Amino acid sequence: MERPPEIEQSINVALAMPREELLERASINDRGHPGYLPSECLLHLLRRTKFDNDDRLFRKLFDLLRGRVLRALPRAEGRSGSQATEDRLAKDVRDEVLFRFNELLCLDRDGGDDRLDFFEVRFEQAISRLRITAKRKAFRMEAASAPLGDEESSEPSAEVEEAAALFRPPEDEILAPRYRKMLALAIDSLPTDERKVITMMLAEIPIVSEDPEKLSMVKILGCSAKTVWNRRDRAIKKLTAMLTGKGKP
Amino acid sequence: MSGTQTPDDILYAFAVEPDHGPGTLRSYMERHPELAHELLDLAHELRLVQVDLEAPDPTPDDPAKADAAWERFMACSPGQQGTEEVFTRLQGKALAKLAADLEVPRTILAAVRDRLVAPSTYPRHFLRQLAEKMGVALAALHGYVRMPPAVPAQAAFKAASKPSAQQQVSFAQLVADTEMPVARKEALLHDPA
Repeated sequence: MERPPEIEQSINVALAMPREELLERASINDRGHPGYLPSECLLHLLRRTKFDNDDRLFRKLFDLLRGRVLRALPRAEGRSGSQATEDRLAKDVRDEVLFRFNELLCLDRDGGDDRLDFFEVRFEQAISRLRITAKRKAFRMEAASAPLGDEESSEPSAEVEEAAALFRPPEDEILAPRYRKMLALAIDSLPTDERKVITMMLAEIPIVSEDPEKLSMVKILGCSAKTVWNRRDRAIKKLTAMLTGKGKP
Repeated sequence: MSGTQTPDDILYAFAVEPDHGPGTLRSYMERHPELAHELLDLAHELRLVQVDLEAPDPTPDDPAKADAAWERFMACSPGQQGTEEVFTRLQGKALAKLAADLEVPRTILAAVRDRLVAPSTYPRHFLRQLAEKMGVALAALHGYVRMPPAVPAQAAFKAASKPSAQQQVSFAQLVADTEMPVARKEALLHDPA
């Protein structure tokens, strides 16, 4: 696992900077700003400072890095449901992620853990791992391995064609990111069992496979094809309603 | 990175892949079917991170919490807390209370105290919970369990030959050999994160 070349370059540039300039540049949070220093770079500098005695630099980097963690977390303003509840849950997730990130910093400082190496490769993506743990705690999400009970009531429908269009973002440069965001949030609002089926659809994993050694939704979920069809169809109906306003969820 | 990948290492490796297209997820799920559900959750969370990164500025950090985190971070410094002292305050009733808080028999904690468990076999969540309940830094606890096994104090008076430390066992073996409900055993061994 190696840092991307652009991160290596940022680190080399930052290491050669006078401290005042370094702190000024580290305070820039706009990723589009030419002076922006990536979070991977700030983390590397903080990890290096365990061999350094400049506490002022150390503390400032520590605070700035916490700020970068916060930027990769859900905002206080809710996405759905009652505002007060959403605020509390988002806050719980943020507190838990910050706590766990601090633990990783501590373990790293002690020299017994190298998981922060991953954060120096792609910081925000690595944060996603902490987010899952924090969400499970805050939202009391079911464990990933929990059995997924499901009724097998209806016959599979032919709504898959509709799904293909649903998952294809518009070509417009402005609309595409907005659509991707709406799609991600809509998928997030699905029940866990339906969300997993949709995630596997996006990964082009077949529902069944003739080869028992190959990946299939039936194999991964440990249920029948009919159950998978039902979950998929329910999910697509909901997503269609959320993204196009057609039909009732 | 170390040669032996833990589930956590694999999940982090997936998270920091440069591309999270369908092929990457399928490849990880094929190579690590036991982590299929975790990988699916992570693939979804990676999309949500992008959404949050594009959102307006976050709520500023709470200065009091930042101070507390900083103090905890500084307390984690090697040498700032004697790892030998981690268990000294845990005797008698305090040990029994901790065992009750953690829902484990006292023999489990005694084995941890005497370092009879191979350090690499501890589930991370167990050590984290233990550190939280004991009120010590996790890094200090890590340092403690990594030290050589303790020689039982009473052995010095009873043994005819020179006393020596006992053989270490895996945490899973310790749990398997200890009498407690099956569900609790499973919970102790399953790392939720």
